[in-house]
Amino acid sequence: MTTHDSVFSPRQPLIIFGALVVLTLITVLISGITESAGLAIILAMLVASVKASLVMIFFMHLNHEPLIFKIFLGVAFFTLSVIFVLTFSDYVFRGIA
Amino acid sequence: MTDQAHAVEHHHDEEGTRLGFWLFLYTELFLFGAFFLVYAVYRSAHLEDFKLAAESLNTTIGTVNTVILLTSSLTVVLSLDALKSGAVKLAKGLLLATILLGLAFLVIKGFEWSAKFEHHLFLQTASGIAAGEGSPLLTPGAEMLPNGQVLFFGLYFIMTGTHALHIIIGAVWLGLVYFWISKGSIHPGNVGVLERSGLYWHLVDVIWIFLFPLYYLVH
Repeated sequence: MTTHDSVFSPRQPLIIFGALVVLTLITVLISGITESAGLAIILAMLVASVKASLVMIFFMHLNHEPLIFKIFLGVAFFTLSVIFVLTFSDYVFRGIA
Repeated sequence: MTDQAHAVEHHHDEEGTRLGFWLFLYTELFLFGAFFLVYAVYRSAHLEDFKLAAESLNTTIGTVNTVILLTSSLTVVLSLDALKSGAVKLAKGLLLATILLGLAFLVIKGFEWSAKFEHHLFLQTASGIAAGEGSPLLTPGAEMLPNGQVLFFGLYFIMTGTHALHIIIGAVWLGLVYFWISKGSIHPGNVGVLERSGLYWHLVDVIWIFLFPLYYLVH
């Protein structure tokens, strides 16, 4: 994103914004459909992940960044998920869950 | 000093700066990641209390605030696009809109918080509850607020409070950017600072995208 003479065109950001609002409404509407707390949180986190991805790819312009930015992102999320998995395996193994 | 050395000294690497800023954003990811982990562990230990406590939060207010933050993400990305294309006035207007939306988010959050203060749900301690300062309103017939609900509201205030602090920092930063655009030090040929403040603002939005369902929807 180094072009300074780009033409202002709000089309793509508006489409992404529309998708984000629709996904917000969807996640509110589907929040009550299941009695299973586990399924409810999985659905909610799934929608949240899609929304977060849209923001990072299009609003934070990851789609225009070089590969190294995406590798860093992958490493960060991988590390975070390792911390989550290890903490939960310890937690469950202790039998306090 | 040779011309070449001089050139290197004054070379400003926008891409490297941006990559460095993304690294900072990952430290924020881990800050909130730790909060999310604590939430996940306590939620699995106190599932019923968490569901009951979450019902006391107003989904409509949470949804409105979510849309407000999403809109502010849109305005800040459009502001950057506008500045890049040379539309300085439009960029400033969109930046101002972003700041105002951030403030609207904080005002709504403030009303929400004060309602919880009135019900004595703010950061209760075990001793405070034992002294009768706890609120039994969520569980009919209960003597005091169950531990799980105390944990829920404690996490609610700490996580949304840390998030609100980031909104304040982001809004101040965007305000400075507005001032620098007015002064002319940020202009269509030098958009780096606006770009980075926008990235920060988007990250705060991304965090809210996860906070919203965890507190307002999963019950």
